[in-house]
Amino acid sequence: MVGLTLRGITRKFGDVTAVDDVSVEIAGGELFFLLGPSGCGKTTLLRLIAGFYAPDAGSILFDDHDVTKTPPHRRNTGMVFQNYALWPHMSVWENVAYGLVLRKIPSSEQNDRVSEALKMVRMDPYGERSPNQLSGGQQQRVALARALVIRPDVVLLDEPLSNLDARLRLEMRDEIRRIHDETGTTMIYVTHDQKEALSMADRVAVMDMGAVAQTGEPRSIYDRPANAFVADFIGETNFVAGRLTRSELPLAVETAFGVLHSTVEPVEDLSPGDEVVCSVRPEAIRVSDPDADAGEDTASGEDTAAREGENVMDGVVRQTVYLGDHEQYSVRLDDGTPMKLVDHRPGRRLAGPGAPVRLTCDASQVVVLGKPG
Amino acid sequence: MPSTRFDLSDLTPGVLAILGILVLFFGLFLFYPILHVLLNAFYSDERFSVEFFGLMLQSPVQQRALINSFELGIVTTALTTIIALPMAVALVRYDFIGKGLLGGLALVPMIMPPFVGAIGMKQMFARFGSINLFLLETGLIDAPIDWFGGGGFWGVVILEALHLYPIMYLNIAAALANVDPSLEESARNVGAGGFRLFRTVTFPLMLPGYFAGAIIVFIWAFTDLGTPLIFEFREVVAVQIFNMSTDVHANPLGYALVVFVVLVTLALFYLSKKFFGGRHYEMVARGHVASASKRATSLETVLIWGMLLSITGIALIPHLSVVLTSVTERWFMTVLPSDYTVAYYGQIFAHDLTLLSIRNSLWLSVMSTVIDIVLGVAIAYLLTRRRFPFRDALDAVAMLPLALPGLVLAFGYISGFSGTFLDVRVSPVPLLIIAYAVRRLPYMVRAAYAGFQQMSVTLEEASMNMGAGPLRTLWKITMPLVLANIAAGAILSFSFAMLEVSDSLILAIKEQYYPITKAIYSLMGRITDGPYMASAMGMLGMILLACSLLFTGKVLGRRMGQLFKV
Repeated sequence: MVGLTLRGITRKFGDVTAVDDVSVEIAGGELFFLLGPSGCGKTTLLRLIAGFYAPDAGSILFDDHDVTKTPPHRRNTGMVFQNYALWPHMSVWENVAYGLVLRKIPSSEQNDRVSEALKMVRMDPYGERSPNQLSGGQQQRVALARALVIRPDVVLLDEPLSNLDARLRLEMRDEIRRIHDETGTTMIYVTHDQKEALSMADRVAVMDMGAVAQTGEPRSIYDRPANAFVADFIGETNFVAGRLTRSELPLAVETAFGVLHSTVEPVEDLSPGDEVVCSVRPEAIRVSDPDADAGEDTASGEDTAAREGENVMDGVVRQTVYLGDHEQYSVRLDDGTPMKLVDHRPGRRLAGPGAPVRLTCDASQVVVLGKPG
Repeated sequence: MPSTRFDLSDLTPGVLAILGILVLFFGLFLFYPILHVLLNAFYSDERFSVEFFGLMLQSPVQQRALINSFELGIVTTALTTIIALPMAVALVRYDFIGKGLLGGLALVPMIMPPFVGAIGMKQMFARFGSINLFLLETGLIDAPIDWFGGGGFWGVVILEALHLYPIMYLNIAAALANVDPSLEESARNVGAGGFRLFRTVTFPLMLPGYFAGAIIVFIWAFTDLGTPLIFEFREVVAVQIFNMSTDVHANPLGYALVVFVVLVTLALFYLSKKFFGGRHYEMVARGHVASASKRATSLETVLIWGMLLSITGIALIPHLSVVLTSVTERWFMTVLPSDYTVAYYGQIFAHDLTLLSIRNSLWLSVMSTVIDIVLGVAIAYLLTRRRFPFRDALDAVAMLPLALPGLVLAFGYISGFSGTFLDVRVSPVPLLIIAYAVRRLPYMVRAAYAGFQQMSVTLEEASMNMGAGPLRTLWKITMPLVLANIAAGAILSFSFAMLEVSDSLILAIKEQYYPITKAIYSLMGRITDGPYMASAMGMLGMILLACSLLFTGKVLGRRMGQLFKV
């Protein structure tokens, strides 16, 4: 199991900086994701690791071994291409055996390893087929077998599932995760699909405009985004602009509809008076009937709410969308701020369009972020 | 992302070495000969002068030749337009039964060498040839008609037009197909229809494409050597240059004439670039071209069939008469031959001159094809797989021979390398090989380019990722996958070299070095069996060409048309 170290990697294409001073540590045996929108530099970074591009600055280490200047064919990486890149003039078997022939592996061992690799991806009956006779999902599996059979230091996957249909994509997610766990190989996986990343990754690096915006486990990236880009790119969220009035926990943010409290330690350095945005996930907001609450709550609810660790917002339901396993609500707060929220047990509708509602949200679910740009 | 113009990390020593060889090759065998001619035309006695041009314009023979060549070019261009325009409209705008077949058939005359067709044409339309005899017998005329009136002018024009209309058609059709139907629809929408629509919208939009085709046709007719020679229509620029190439040192007029041809060519390409940007207009949506064609009614189908079949039929008459001539035992004062024989096919393999010329042509064409494969694949590889400075320049230079008249290059070789070890008077073999190679290189480059382009780069990257170095990847992955394209380009280069006219006529001076085409030309001068043997040789050539084009068409499919566009 080989760990990777990327130090200050920069790569420019003409005037465009595709990868901008990226430093990442990837532990041996990790399933590591590079996640970001198209054009964020994630594929370029992967190709830099494979050696197809040379970095303008920085160095790439496999364990302690500097491979920055090593040409691609001497790096011992196994890459799975987005379009699979199976050689059409060779059979499935020959495609998988190619890397072993180059490594001058004795032919009896070649046979064992190729059939083992094809078994691993459940393609063992298809060895004699030509790649053109295979479906997209099957080609994907062969590409994976070809990358694994050489026992690479690291497997590189470039949007491997993007050409498959939705059903097959879900199936292959489990397959790749299973193969990773069985082989224990270090894998780097590039995708723009946040669900793929959240569901499969050990750790994720979210990239934006050539730089790493945040690195961490899926849960921490989702719950504690480091900045507004990450909060917006991963999952859905409500952004509320405001001014920070207290920078010690619990934080207090003055917004157009009142004060929001947060018990989440901010990643950025913030001081009172700063313009900030608060990110509140739709599923963190609960709906209650304002009249039902009126009896318990006293008129000026903010202080009480803060003490109880709860934020309270009043508004009117504008629209609801029923989607079977959940229901989406669009609410307009009294000052006009729109809020999206999700009810995951939509057995009955909580409130119809036009109904006044009181929204509550735990202070631990409000993340205060520096204003972007 | 990798769309940037160049990347210095792509300039490996290997790439630099290939670029160096290419610069050397093109410098020596493309630019140097042309420059040499230019210098000799403008510098006499160590000083700049244009006096040769004065001499050229004063000589009545040269005057006549210039006027004739221009007329030839203009009339041929006009004639091909008249033939090709309705063809293109029919084939692009209408769907009808047998469209693919007729469309393909209409292209056949392009591959038939006009030089060979001229032999048959001459037989057929001679004073007492088949046509006149037929008309006399049926009593339609009383005296034989002089079909090639004007000393053969019309013979040459008709033959050139029948040979070149497919090129015009390909260019017009491409231009027409590129006219976005929505532009026409919007014109109809505001009330323009029928001819008015064509004149005000369609024609202006397809003009750049039309002009590109017209330039090729004009230059071809303006500089073609073989056809006027067969018709003994000697007062044209091409034949004058051919005559002067034998004594380049004594007569400086040849330089001036060649420079004149170069200037005309340059001027035409400059004009097309200036007025049309050298490119087609940017059309908004190119994807919906297919929707522009409509189903032909049965009347329209009949008309279109009639038109296409008669064009192709007429265009093939010269070649059919070559077939006929080649199997003629006796053909004197009768419409069709009175006795038939296949003896001439046997004779061409027994006769010294013909046998030697077949051997020469095979050897020369094989060698030039090898050079084309090496250079063409290298250029196509660099153009598709590497980013380096002056990439567009390399592309343009590799395509230059398509636009450069063969005559110019051949004359440049004779004069530029005289006195060196490549002098054609010593042996024309090296220069003939190189001339063939340079002239046919664009076909090879385009065929290989198409192969590289349709092959995803990731297939090569996957190979390197698996541990194969660049050379092994080239050998195990790239080459097998583009082999068909390389073979197609090579076969095309080979067969065009076998039937190449102007380089062969000009460069091969001694009989022992004659290639097939020069042997045919010299056979035509023999009164007895000359034309029959020449026809038999021509037949061989046509069969070879037809087979190779069939193969190429199978491999390249629809991209075949691109090989013949500038």
